Amino acid sequence: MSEINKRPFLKQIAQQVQLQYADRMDEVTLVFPNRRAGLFFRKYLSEDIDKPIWSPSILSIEDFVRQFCGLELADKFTLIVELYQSYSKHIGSTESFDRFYYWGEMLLGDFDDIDKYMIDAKYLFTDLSNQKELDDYFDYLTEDQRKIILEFWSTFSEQSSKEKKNFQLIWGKLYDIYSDFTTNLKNKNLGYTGLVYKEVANNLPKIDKNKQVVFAGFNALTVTEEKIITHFIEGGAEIKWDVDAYYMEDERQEAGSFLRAYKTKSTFAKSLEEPYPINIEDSRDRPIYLNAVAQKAGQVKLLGNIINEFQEKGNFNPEKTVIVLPDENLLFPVLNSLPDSIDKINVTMGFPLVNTPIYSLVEHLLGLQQHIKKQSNGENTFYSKHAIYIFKHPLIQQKIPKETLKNIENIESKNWSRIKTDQLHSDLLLIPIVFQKVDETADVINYLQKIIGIVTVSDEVSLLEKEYAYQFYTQLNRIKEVIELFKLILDLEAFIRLFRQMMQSLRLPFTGEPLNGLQIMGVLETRNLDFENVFILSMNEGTFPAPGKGHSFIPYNIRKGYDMPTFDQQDAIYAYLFYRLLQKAENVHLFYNTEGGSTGGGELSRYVQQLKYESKRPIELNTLSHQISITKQNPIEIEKTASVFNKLKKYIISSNGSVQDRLTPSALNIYLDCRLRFYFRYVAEIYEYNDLQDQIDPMVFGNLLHNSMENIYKQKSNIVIEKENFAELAPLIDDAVKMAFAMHYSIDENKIEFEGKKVLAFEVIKKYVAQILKRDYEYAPFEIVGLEAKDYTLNTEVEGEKGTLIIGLKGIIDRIDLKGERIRVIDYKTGKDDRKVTDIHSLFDRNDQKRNKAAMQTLLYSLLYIRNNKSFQGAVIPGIFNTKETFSKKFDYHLMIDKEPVVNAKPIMAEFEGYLKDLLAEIYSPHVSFDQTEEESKCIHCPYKGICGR
Amino acid sequence: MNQKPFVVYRSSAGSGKTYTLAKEYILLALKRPTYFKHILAVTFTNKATAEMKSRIVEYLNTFSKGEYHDMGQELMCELGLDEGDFQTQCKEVLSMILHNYSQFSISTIDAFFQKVIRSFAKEVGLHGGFQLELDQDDVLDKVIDDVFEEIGKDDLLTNWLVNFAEKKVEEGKSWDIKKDILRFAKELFSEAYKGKEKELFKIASNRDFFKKFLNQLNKVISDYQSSAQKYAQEAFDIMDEHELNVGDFARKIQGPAGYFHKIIEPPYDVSKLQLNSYQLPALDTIEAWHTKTSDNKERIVAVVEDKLMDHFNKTVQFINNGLKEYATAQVAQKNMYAFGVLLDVTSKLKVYKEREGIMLISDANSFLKKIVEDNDAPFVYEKTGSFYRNYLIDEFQDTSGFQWQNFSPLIYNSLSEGNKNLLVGDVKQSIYRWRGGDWQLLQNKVEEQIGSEYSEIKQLNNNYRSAGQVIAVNNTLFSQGAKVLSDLFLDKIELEGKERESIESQAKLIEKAYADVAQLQPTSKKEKFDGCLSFSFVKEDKDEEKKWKEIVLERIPLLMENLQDRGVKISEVAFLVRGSKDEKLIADYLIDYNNSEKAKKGYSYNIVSNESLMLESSRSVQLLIHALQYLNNNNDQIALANLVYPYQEYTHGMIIPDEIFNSSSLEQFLPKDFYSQQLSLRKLPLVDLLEVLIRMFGLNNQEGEFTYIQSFIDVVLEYGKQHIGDITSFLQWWNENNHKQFVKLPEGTNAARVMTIHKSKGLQFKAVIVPFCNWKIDHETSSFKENRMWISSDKEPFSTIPFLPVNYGSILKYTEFDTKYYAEMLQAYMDNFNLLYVALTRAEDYLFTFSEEQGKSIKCVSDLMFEVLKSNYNDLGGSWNEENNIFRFGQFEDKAVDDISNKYQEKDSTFQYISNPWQKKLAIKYNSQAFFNTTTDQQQSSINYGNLIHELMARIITIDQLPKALDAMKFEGLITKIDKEELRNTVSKMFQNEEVSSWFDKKWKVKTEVPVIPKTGEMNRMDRVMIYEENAVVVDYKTGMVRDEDSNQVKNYVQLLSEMGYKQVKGYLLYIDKMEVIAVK
Ligand code: SF4
Repeated sequence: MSEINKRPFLKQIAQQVQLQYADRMDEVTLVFPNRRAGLFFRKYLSEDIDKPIWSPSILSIEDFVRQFCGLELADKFTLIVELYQSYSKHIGSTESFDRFYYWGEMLLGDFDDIDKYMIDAKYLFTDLSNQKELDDYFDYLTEDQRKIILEFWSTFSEQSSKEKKNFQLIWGKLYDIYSDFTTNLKNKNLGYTGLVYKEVANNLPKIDKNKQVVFAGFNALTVTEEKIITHFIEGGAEIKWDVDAYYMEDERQEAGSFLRAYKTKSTFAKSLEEPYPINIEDSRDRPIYLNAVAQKAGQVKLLGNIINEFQEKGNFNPEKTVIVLPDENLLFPVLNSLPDSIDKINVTMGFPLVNTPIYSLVEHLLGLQQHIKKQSNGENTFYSKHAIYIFKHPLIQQKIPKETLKNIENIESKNWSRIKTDQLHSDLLLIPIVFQKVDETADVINYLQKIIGIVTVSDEVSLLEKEYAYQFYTQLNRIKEVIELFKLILDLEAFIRLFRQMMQSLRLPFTGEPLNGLQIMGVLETRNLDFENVFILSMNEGTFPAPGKGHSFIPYNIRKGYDMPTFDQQDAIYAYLFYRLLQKAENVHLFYNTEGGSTGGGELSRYVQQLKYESKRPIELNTLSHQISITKQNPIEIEKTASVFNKLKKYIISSNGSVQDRLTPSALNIYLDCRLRFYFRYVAEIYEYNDLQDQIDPMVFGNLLHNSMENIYKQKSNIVIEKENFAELAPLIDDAVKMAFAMHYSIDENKIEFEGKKVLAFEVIKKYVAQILKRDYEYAPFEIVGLEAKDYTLNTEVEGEKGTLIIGLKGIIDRIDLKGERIRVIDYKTGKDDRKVTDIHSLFDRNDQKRNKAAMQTLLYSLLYIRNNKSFQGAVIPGIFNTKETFSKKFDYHLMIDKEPVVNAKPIMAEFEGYLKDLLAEIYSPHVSFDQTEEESKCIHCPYKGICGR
Repeated sequence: MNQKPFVVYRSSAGSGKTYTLAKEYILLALKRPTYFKHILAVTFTNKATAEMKSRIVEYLNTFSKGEYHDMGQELMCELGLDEGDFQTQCKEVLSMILHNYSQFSISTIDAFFQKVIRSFAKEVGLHGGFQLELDQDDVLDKVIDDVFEEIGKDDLLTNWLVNFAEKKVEEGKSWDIKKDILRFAKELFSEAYKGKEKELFKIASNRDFFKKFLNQLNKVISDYQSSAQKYAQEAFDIMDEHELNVGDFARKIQGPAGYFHKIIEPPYDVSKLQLNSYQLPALDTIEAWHTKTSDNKERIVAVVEDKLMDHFNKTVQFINNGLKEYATAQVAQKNMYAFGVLLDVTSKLKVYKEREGIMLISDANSFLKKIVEDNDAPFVYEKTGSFYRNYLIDEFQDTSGFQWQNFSPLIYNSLSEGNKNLLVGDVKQSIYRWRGGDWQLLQNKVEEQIGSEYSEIKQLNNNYRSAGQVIAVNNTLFSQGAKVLSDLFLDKIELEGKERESIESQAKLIEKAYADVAQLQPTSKKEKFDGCLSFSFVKEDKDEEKKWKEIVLERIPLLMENLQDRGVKISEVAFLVRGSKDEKLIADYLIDYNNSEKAKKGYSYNIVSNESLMLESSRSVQLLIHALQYLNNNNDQIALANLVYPYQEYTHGMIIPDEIFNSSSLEQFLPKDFYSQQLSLRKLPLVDLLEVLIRMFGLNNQEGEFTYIQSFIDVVLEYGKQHIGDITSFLQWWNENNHKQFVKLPEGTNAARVMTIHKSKGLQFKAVIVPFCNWKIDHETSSFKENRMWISSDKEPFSTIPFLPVNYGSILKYTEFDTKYYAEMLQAYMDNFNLLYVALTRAEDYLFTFSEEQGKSIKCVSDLMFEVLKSNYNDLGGSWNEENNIFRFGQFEDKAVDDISNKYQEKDSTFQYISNPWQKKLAIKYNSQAFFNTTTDQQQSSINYGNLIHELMARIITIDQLPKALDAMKFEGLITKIDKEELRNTVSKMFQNEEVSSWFDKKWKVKTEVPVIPKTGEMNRMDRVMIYEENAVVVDYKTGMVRDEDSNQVKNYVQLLSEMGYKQVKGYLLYIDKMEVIAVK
């Protein structure tokens, strides 16, 4: 094996060119499949010269061909819009542009192929289902082609299916569309690659072929490319191939299928002479390492470890190393996973623009626009959810003053589901711009551009972020221009759909210093390049090779019949790319994901399988398997240290009778549920954040009911309500409930608009209120003596270990009414509560699974009442109005202790208070720490479960 | 004799289905090297697909190397090939497959269907780029929200929903009807519903219809109830008249008089309206009305004789006559409100799908149906680009009716051309009926459809999986069990006449399905270990108040140790459970046990379960989420505490929690960088951000968590492909979806698996433990899981609607739907029995089950097992320990394998979680630099001209090229129309400068942006060089202020040019903004 063969392909070319052209270097043109190859070529060239030289002209094939054609390459968007015009004209369809876009891309691809392969569109797009037409075109086709195409059309008949008719309909028009489209383009002096290539290929006789041209590194040539290259070869140009015996000599290797075919062509035969270099399978039989990992990201981490090992062993040159990423999504993981010792990286691939922060902002802005609603008074309202997304967006946040951020809290705390601009605190810069309605596409684009502009001009915005923004900006410019030019009419929805489709495919190029450092690139970018160390990730079917590109209008067999490329070609192209990477590599590490995702993907790439079953190179499998250990969080226990005690003091009545705060029944209930939770909430005072609640949760629902009841009875406090009074109450329900809603949402009650689920809640609460009134009617006459009564407090003496403590308690009692000598202390309940209690002790028994919290609360209220009304002689009845029971025939509100109704709380108060004091004593006992509940079901709705890890 | 072209393989567990399928595949593929392109093999899951492919390739490889293999021998035999030919042919096929891998068609049904639909998208009017949506429930949730948005706008809808909520409230249930609608709307995706949708909406196309229908039902109910009440009232009036009350009569409330009590208060529970044994005689015997000692005996006798008995008879007659209609109305009415919203959900769903450009997985079948119904197979093939002649379908028992409908035309086409097709399946393993699987297709329907002249049934009788004893016990258990089961079912039927007969004949299906259950052990396996089984029936420990499940749990560690003593690796053990609750029970217990002192050294109790695999269960993942939550809202105290505490605990081990929680600022406990860089962190793309957080919080040191972290990153990567990438959106998504995100483990992870029986289908394990082996034989019904049946009736008023959704339940016995009820019950029996079959046939060598001790009647599968085992253990050579209630079979007392190498050992790993910042390592060229650097807002229309002019000038060799260059730049999106004009002006002005315009003279040989290649060092790209003989002029364009570096640079150029051999070299700088030309000396 000659040494030369081991040098990088481009280096070989550089040396040959140098030898051949020496001083006339600037007269040579080198043509490579892409531009990148040129960079490396130039580098290799510089390694072997003794004085500065003019660089030869180095071109990609596309740039090379374009020189010979007057047509300008139009961008994809222009082309699709242009195509849409022709399509609509001939199909007469009303398909909207955004829906057409996908088909447009596909059709464009087909037209591109047609031209690149020099197919006569007129013949191709003929509907041959009619025998006569078939005969007419017979002579044009070869025997085999005729057969295949015939077969295809033979399934069409008079009674074709709807799908077939649809197919025929479009097919029959495609030639018209094609010629209309291309004519229009040419009139505007525009073209797409295929068209340009075809023009040049057709025009070859007029092009001077006597040029010093070297074509290098090609594999799959289109018909036009082949023609063009042949033309220059006839004029003396050279062509150099990068091949290996491994796939050239084995007829079955798809990697060599194109090259073997060229060998049979007279133009190329000489340049493809045997013997071929033997690099993939030379005598050394170095192993290929295959690394199996159960996650995508895991591959990347293993890669980092392997590079680390290389580094530690020395003789590792990052400049001669490439990491190939068939899955572009792994770019950031890879960047983050390289050992620190790798200090220079070059990336040659794009980063999807949709993953940038600026894109998410744009999406939210569009979302905001999409969900604008006009109120009955014509005012626009915005959906708060999107408003919050926007306010929380970092690009917005760095640009608006702090007070403006209060908007978030404001919306969240008031639970506004929609907002109007006058409800927002404005910053006078962004807010008025963001919160306006835009309709026309051009306005939408201006809107987005304006906002992008404002948020990006800031020192807080990094260069990379600016780069993202810049890309958007220019893209939007483009869209705007084209839309204006063609007078496309798109509504907001259509624009958004279109915009999304376009953005999906956009990549932000990382253009760096391409020749420095360790190289990271996509598969296509590796063309012509050689590296000593090759790491390829994602060696999975479906990723490498990538799944067949977009679809085609042209059925498989027709493509075959006309020698147009099918997915087979694409697979072969990828195969060549893969094997070529192995040619000069000393160390090859392949990685694959063993598990895949919901849509598959755990299958080992065919290329690795080919190597495994066919090549002499040994494959060494290495499976990454971590120890997985599931640890639970250690228990948390808060001892009652001095500082804890200090905090606990706030519930103790000081000697002068003042108190900072008082314990409520819910605090006690929480303590009984979980001591630690009590600590978090009432000692450390870590409060829950009030998120925007789209739904009406049970707590809100309960409050709404309370407040509605309060509103109803407000006017009737302290007067006896007789049965006949209820006739006056019934009409108040509507307003009472409305007012409760208005209060809850802090909105003027006249302005509150009911829609969505709120309507349901509104109606249901009205129904409950009416039903409670019905029950009250049955009970009347009675007198309301307290509503949402807040002034009930109690100072309880508790014998603590350090003497007597007086602890403050308080409660808000939903309702207190009086009938004769009976006071009822009533709690409205909308949840699952029931009235059954086994015994008083059970109310304080934290181990009782069914501890009745509602009962404990109501009894505590009763205690508060009794203590505050010592002179009252009558019965005090604790009662629970359970909304779910109010409709039952067996409606009752009495607590049932051991199946007996509590008709007076007074006799049981002593016992109750005894337990209560025990409980309070425990809270203040230095021996009982705040620990976690053993009953994990209590944690399900606990806001602190993140801390506890439950 | 010629083989029939359509072969149905009925297999049993472990009978080598995959082997058979692979063999048949190879048999066909060997026809000729490229023939494999015409075979489509269909598997059940993606995993099975990959596995099947690699098996076939493996086999071919083995054969092509001439290595001995049973299958190879069989194939040679069947093909009549000699070894050499066989070898070459296999080699050729293998190579063809490897090099035409895209046409190696082994795929899931869904994937194949998707392919067809995509290629017809245009013709059937689909959006071309549609995304396939798998998470249908999530879509439904959003769509129902959309429906709720309409409340208040659409009066009919509003009324309907308000009535719905009110009705629920009246019934004492939650007013939240969304859940009900959501649960019901899932029907939209079921085949049972889909097949009827069209017909239904033809009739029920508006809510008025539902309203009327509901009124009709209500009328049936209220008429019946009020008449019944009247009867009752009359009876009470009679009693009153005679100063009697219910308590005076025999048996009081239980007796005949009590019957009236029952019907005074509607609504009725129809199952309680039957006369009981005290009431029945009261129809004609007076004695039944009183006891011998009744005080008012005479009065009772008198009134009964006179009026009451007659009235009782009339009442009973009325009740019985109307009962069926009443009961039917009751069940029909139950779902009516939710049903009535379906129309709205359907239409909103359509809008949603259109808007989001998605297709639901459940829609695929109906689209496909349209395609295959209308089009002949060749056209379908043309469009998809694959041309299949043979279909091989695996796991056919789980194929749904729709799927078969869609497949069959293609198969017919193939058969009509005389090609071979084949189905493989096992009715006994059909456990996916709830997902639409229809095992009757395999059992008989398909065969009937295709016709016996084409089809042939083959049995696979060997069991290659299990040890002899395991096979033997299962053989008995299931063949006998099927009999017990079908008897049990027959007992349940309360029907007569024709209806009974029809149900009875259906009942034969059970035994028929299990007729072939008995399996043989292939001779090749005989000498091996014979297996070992135990079935325990545990009693609740009344003294210690221990539930039976707890008792089972306590036994498990010992069992695991025992297995390891016998040389079973921990990774070869599986726990199979019914549902996720049990999964958690086992997992929690063993994790605690593993961390407790009870755990013995040298044994592993490691398990992986769905739950422990949930990403959420990892503390590192939790911490990352908390960090994101905090970044999203740094006012959220809880998020902060959530983050601080675990972080402190992680990194500092022992900490005093109160010092943290009680401190005045929790923020001080965060990593400093994290706190100070919040804003810039929030602007990072998610995946990048996560890596930074992993570093900041030191998670790269948490070795046991790497797998979780890596899987979490995978999830975020996947998320990023389809969703908006900001933190707020991600967190929202995570909240809704975290329970579906699991860690991905490599095969052979060193732990026992805990999984549901459903998931275990197709798998096998050396040792299987079924810890809670006693699920119900009938449907498990709860308010969360309704088994819905779509049925119709020809009785008015129920026949007004073509199909009614009815919940499965014993009340159906009393309705018009009684026969359908029994038919469904039969299916339920099969489902649950099949489940047992799947569970008990996963084991290779060891099988252990635990169940609760049997009650009196057979309710659970365990009861059934007990029955069979009790009467057969002896014949099977087993033992029954009556005291502990354990049946044992096989080599139980065998000594332990004392092979230390087999024992569990922790592996060391040198793996590090490498995570480093990259920004400084990467040089990026920024285009935007100038663009957004202006601190004014004026860049709107003023893209930096400096760069643009640079670009433009590079494109111009001579002045006349200006227009073309401008056009080109416009198309590349670099400039707008306005820019273009301005640029044209600027450059034209430039050309007015004489010096400048002289450069554009035709005499020059011009090079623009052509680099000079130096000997060493950096490339030089000179903006413009003009050469004329030995003269060279170099010009560099600059923007902004005049700077010293600029002229240094040009000096360098001049130097380079001289080195290259030009005698006269001049250098210039052209400052574009100011149009200043400076000659460099
Ligand atoms: S999560 Fe559980 S243990 Fe922790 S505070 Fe809440 S209730 Fe207590």
